[in-house]
Amino acid sequence: MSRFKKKKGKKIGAISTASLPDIVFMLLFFFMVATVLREVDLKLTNELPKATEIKKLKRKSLIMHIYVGSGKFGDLKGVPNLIQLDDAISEVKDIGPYLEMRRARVTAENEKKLLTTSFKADENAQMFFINEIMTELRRYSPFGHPISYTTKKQIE
Amino acid sequence: MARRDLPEINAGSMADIAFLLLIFFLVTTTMDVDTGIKRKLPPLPDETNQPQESQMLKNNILVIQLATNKDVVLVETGAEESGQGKTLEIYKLKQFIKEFVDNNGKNIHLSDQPDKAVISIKSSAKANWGTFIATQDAISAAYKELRNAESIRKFGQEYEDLNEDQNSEIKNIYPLKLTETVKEN
Repeated sequence: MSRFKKKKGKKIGAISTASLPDIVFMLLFFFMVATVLREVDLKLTNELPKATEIKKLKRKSLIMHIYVGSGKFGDLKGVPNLIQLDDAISEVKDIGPYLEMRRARVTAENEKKLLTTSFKADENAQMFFINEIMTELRRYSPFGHPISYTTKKQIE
Repeated sequence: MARRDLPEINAGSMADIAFLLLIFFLVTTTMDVDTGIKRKLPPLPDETNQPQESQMLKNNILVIQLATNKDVVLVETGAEESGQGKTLEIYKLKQFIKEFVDNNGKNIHLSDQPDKAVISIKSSAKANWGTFIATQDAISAAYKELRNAESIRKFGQEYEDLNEDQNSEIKNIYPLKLTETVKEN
């Protein structure tokens, strides 16, 4: 009978937590790699329009951003049709030099024409102002300029 | 001199440190990538390359006019008298563009052939960017569906799955010819 002794008294050993740091580190590295720290402080209201036929923009180094909207803070609060390049509120005439500066920063010669503008305009921005910006971009792009009208994804 | 054994460093807090970093990156992470409608801006026209709109048959041009009203656009094919266009709700625009492009000469007011069709967006100065995007979206959607249908008919595959040669073949059948102008006033 003693052969079938119940294992009742035996305790289950504690679960080893030695591999916990490894798991956490793995997650940590994933998020470190996936993280994009917010690169600019938006000084404009920027409610992007929604669309369905959208494509993702790749190659972060080949993207420049132009923000269009109305002012959010201080004296500029509520002033419509403003441009922000990087961290500064700018004027239409600043776009050309900015574009050239960004183009000069692209080292590979054959990639210079791939520099894409991510055009982030508020949905209430007015077309005459947008047109001024587009004209300026075209003036400084003798071979055409790739552009992405940045939108949010429309959820059906 | 006998060396003393170094006491082992307790690695128990390693997990805590890693957790702390993990939580920091979890909070700061924004994984949204920019998405948008892709287009290419042409260079400004100069004396040597003037637009040659006058050479085209007028029924091959679809003019979409944007005004301040967000929900409707005015569409007009060149064959009709100017100012005789009809208003169209934006959600119906995609269907209309498909009819216009894929007309193949059936209706004399619409395009003769898909590769001759030109779409021209004319916005008024006060029109909204949102309306413009909605129009662009409808155009993209219409062309995507047309290309997809042609691609399935020809190669039995979705347009997105085609290889480069097949892709450009379909693109040559349904090339997107688009002009964007803004009226100044």
